[in-house]
Amino acid sequence: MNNKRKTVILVFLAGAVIALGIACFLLLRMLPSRSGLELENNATVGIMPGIDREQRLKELQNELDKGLIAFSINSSPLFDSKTQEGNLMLENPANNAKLLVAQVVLNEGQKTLYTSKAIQPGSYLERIKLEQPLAEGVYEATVYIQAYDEQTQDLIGQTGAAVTLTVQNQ
Amino acid sequence: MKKVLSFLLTVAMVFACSQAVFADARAYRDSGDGDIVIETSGGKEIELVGHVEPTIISVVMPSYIPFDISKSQPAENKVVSPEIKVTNNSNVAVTIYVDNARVDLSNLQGTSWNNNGMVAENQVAVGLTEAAAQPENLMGARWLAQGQQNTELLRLIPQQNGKMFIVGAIGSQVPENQVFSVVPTLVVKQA
Repeated sequence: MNNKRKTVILVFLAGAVIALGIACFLLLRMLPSRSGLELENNATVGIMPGIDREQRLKELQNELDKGLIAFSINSSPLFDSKTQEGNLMLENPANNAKLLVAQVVLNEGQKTLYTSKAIQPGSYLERIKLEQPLAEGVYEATVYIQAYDEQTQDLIGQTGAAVTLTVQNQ
Repeated sequence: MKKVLSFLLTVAMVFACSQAVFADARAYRDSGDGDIVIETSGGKEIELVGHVEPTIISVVMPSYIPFDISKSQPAENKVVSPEIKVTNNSNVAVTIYVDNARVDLSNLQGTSWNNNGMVAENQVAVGLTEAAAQPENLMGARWLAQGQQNTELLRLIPQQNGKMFIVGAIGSQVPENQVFSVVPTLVVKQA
């Protein structure tokens, strides 16, 4: 009888100790740690953008260099007054890796005289026909050249060339 | 008699052989100063046909210019700008100028554009300057205006490279952490 009673007491005590240990463990986990710092989960690893000037300069330079375009153009194309055809001679060099679209705009009045389709790298537009006819004379115009990404066909940017158009009877 | 005939034959031969010389329309005249002047009269017409080749401008230019502007930049120039390289591959001199500039300040509430670099507290000004390295100050800046303009930036002789940078000033009350755009169109023309 005494042995049975002792066994019951021992089992009860063991269970109590185990329960107390579990309770302490759970309680300690809930309390803030006094010996270490809790790590922030919302932080992004790496250098914050805008802080490293040299890195930022490299990024800007890379973006600008991607937008550089090379082209050649006749600075004074001659157009036939009857056919309205002339020698624009616009070249998109092979090393451009961009599609070019040309738009000829009259300086006076900003009238668009001609818009090309996309010119592939390594090709040129020798002669064009004005979509808006001009009478005989000499005109100042600007050829706006828009550059498009060859793969995505997204617009990269625009540059231009000032030209003098001469329309005469040939 | 035989002697007379021989003499006459000799004269005739000399006369006959010299016809080719007399038939030549060229005459030789002593100019008097030691030179022999050759003149031509008659003969065939020779037509000379010339073709004036067009002047081709060949350049490398930027079509897009990204930059950062910040009040925290310590120098007078508040812009961080890449090197803007322009190459003249033509056989003629060229001029690079700004033809027009599109400005969008819609994200910067209460901010207006400035054309001369002397910004008020709620203004932004951006320009371009020819320089070998990123400028610290705003001297020599060619300020961008909104819309059509004719702002000359630099002149390049044949086969020359040029370099420019974006410069800018920003007022103290201009909102930060926002994006605005100013898109200049650079145009090349024969100088």
